[in-house]
Amino acid sequence: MSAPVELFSKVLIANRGEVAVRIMRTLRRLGIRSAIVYHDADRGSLAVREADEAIRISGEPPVSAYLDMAQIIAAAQSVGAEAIHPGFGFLSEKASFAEAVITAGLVFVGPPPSAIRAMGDKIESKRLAAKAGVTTVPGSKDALESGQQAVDIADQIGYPVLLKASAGGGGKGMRIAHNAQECRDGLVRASAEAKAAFGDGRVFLEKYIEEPRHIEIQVLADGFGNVVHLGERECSIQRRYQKVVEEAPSPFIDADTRARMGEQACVLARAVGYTSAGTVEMVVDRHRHFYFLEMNTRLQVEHPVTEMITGIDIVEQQLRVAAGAALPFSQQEIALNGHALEVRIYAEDADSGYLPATGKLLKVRFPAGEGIRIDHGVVEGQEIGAAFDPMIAKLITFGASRDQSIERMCRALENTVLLGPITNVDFLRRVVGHPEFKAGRIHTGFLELHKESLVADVPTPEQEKLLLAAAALSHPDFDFRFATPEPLAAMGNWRTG
Amino acid sequence: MTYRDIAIDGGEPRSVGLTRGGVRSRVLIGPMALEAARAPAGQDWEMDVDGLCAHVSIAVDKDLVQIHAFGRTWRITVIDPAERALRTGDQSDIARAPMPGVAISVMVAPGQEVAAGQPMVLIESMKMQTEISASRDGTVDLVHARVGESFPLGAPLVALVPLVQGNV
Repeated sequence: MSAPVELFSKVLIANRGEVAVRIMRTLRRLGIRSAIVYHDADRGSLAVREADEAIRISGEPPVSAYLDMAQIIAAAQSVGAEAIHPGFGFLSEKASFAEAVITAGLVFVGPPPSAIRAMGDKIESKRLAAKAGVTTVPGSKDALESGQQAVDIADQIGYPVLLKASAGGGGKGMRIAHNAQECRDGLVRASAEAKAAFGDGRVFLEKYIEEPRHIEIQVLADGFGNVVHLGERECSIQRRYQKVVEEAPSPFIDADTRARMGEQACVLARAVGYTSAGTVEMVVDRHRHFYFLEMNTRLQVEHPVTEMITGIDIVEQQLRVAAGAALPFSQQEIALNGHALEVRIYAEDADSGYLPATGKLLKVRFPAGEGIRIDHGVVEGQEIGAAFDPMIAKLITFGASRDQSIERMCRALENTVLLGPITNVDFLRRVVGHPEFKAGRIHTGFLELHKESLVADVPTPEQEKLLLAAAALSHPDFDFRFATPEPLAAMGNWRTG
Repeated sequence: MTYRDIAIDGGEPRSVGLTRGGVRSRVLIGPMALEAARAPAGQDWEMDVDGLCAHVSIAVDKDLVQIHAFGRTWRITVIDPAERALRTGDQSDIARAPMPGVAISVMVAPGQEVAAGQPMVLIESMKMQTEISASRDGTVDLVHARVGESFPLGAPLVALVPLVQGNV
């Protein structure tokens, strides 16, 4: 243990919604006062109510207020906050914001600007990772010059391979090849397609990852060169490249693979002089080969699952490291216990192409009980608008085993009452309760592959009767006052129930 | 007795009639007559219909009744059959906003010929962009969408010249 370091007395949160509330929870526990910036659209939000101080900022559209560095830094200075926690999204991965905070004489709760910058560029970060000895998806370094060259590289890295246009997108200029013939043909076709679609016929080749899993490693680093990892999170259940269900540990990763992935993540963090919490995202193939994707230099949305299985408050460690403290534990002292699952509750219609939904939250009731954690920032009566991300809440369950946390999640979702905008709560229950999910057979194509077995149930005849009767009894059209022929209507403007 | 058409989760509407009683009410679903009992339970209700009991949470917003029961939320629409008959106009003439958002670009102008499926307006909602396309071949009559302006759910974005004037 290191000598005690004085923590901050006041921290400004440059964020909104559930993550702001989440950060406040740790601040309060540590005896640190919280300040928050807010746009008028968030006046009356849970985050603003819970904060010790709230400073109004402006901008149109509202999201621009939360991206306005000058207003946010001025707000922090006006209330005497010593540090700014950026949460996730918004300015959290903007090196220039971290720099501006430091220049203003404040502490940025996050990694140094240089590390944010190094990991911010996809190509540059991959180059850095490869240089540090981190495995990246093998492939051609430059555009292919001939079919023979493509076949030679494919022979080295093994089939199947993916031929993809440098300027590609939306599946155009992409070909999967399983042998030399397909490789030669694929290059010609992909190149022609890319030339026609993008005016750029350059094609690269890389290993094609079958049934890819998205698995990431949480790292923590301090300013004294200590770097540890907190194991992995699997986030393979995605829609539109956005995570929907996350868990830790992964049902696919064994202790040996975990140790090797963790070691590589720590090597990368050291290579860029990382401090604070960060996440190294990897893609894992079905043979448990893992490859670096990118590093997220901030707190992740899905950090709670790691907290549940390690007992470590990641936000607390971010604050301690920012205040100059050393990490209070070594890699050997970090133990993983049990299993945690997180689902993201969105205002969206999962059964109609995940269309975002809006509306007023008419009734909000979250589940409670053993092994249930809920991170949210909403209040009943609040309007879910189109101005911000449609995430309403994160529901997290913990169990001694994966089966138990899944079981708890199903029950918790069934007991989540969110009336108002359409939400994905029932869809999430269908996903988490799906036999293939329960069996751990997941990959990033899961939702697409199983969409037919993930459709909503229709009510049974008994349920239908009850629902129709309940709707009739609740709807004003069936109120006495409107049933004009009935003599009771003459009794005036009163209401039953 | 009052009658309405009621549809669960966008399914086939059923004709439902109700005569309220104190504790027990009489419900007609099509030709089927039932007794429904309802008792308050905190902010919710305990329901007993035809022997099936359930704890239900309910929120009513105009024609939409949302009910949380049997472990999930059901979205139920109550339709006045008389009102529905009065609803006029060919809806396919008007491209409406499938969600609230902001118009990012407008690709058509009044008088322009469009083909079915042709993108007319690009809208953005919650970081997601969606193209609003023509539902049929036709001529653009009015363009309501303005670049940079926001609109609510269901707002008309582009109207096509009706195929037959004075229809319905």
